[in-house]
Amino acid sequence: MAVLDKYERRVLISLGATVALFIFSILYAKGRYKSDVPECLPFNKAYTEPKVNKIDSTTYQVFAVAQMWQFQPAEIYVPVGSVVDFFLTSKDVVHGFDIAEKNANMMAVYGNINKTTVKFEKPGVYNITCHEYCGIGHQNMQARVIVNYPEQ
Amino acid sequence: METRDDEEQFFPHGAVAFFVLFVALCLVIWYGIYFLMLART
Repeated sequence: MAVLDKYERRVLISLGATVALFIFSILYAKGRYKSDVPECLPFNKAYTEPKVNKIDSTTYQVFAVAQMWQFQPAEIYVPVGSVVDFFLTSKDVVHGFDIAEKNANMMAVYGNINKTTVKFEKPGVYNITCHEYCGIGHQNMQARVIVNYPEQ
Repeated sequence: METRDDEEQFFPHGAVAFFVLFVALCLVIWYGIYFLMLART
């Protein structure tokens, strides 16, 4: 029976503990991570009309339209705890759509509808920015999601 | 000049410290991004 050197044994134990911690963290995040994976929907002209649909008190649909150099609707008001489905398209070139502090990151492509779902659990202002260079006004292309407490 | 006894008692303190700090730095960077990701869900 081979006997390990004490230093070799310590290195192996440290390595095993680190790998175990790493795997545990990945599995924990897999269970905890509730973000929706963006999906591509069949094109429908109805999505090119910007609007906010209230489905019920905490469920909303946003038809977001990107064009040079603005997002419409530019301000979206939802109450705390809302689950918002974003349907995104572009009227011209490719734009980006990134919601700050949320794992929502999509591309707005002409003739395509991209969808993601975001839950807003804390009140505040969440900036939406275009992160794909789209022309001379790119840096001004922003919108906001304003999350308030519901009216009493 | 080193003798055989010196060689047998040698322990790579510097290399061990470097390795431990290296692993600690990797953990700090990795968990920094990890908890940022979890906070955004």
